[in-house]
Amino acid sequence: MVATDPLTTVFTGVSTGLGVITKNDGLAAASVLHVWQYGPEAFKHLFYDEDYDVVITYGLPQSRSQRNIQSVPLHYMMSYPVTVTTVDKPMAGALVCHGMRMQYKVAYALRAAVASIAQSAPAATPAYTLTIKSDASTYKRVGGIYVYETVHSLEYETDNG
Amino acid sequence: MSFATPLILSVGEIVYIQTRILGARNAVTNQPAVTYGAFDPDDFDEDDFFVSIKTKIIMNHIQTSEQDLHGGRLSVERQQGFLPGTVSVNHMDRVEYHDILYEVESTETPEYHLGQVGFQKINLVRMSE
Repeated sequence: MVATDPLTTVFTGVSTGLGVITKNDGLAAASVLHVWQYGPEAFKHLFYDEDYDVVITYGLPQSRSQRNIQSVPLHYMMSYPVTVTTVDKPMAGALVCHGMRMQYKVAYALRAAVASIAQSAPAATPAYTLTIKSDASTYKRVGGIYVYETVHSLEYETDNG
Repeated sequence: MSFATPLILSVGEIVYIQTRILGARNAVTNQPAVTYGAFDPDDFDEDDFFVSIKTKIIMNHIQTSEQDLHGGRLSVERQQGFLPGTVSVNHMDRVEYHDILYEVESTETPEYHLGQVGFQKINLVRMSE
């Protein structure tokens, strides 16, 4: 067992590498919250009280092993969900942040951020490679808020179980 | 400030409610700390503002019918999280509605995602006549 778990690696790498996400005007920086999944906060609190424009949550993985025939696992493939949530802001009047538009900006930045941490440092423990395997978007109207949500599946492959 | 006592009394039937207050963010997870406290309708000041709003929402969303009342069960739907702050009803809480005492039997969160609860349905079972 190593000191830094993969969730922390993903969280730290993405949150530090994401760079500036801008609002609709392409100039003003959006406020982005990176947080582990399953926190106690709620949409309206985060987006309209705390005034975040983008909320990115980091969840627990689905894992599978890769092995030779009838052999011990050689690699573990851990698929970490990174969920990007955006809403239309403000709730009334001209939009400053369009939730759907923000999704692409974040997806674009996320791809660059993951590419920058795609491989562990030489001789690091654990050694890993990190890729974005897929993403899936949903849109829903919940509690009077229009919510755009994309789950990016980041696959963390390692030989260190 | 003294806040809107009629807001509570007009709907008035909650007896024991536990409030949940968000605190500073954790350095690792970035999630806020949570502290719990008892809801006190007699001590209703600015600090309890969020609680008062939330309580109103809870009571305004009681869904019931004659059949529910006679069957001894009652459902409460609440919008947790779409207003500032939160109020948590846990399994030890009791709710008095139309002079009948109910206890929380179960809760459902049909739209639970991202760790942010959308709607929650609280199922209550009758404990007294």
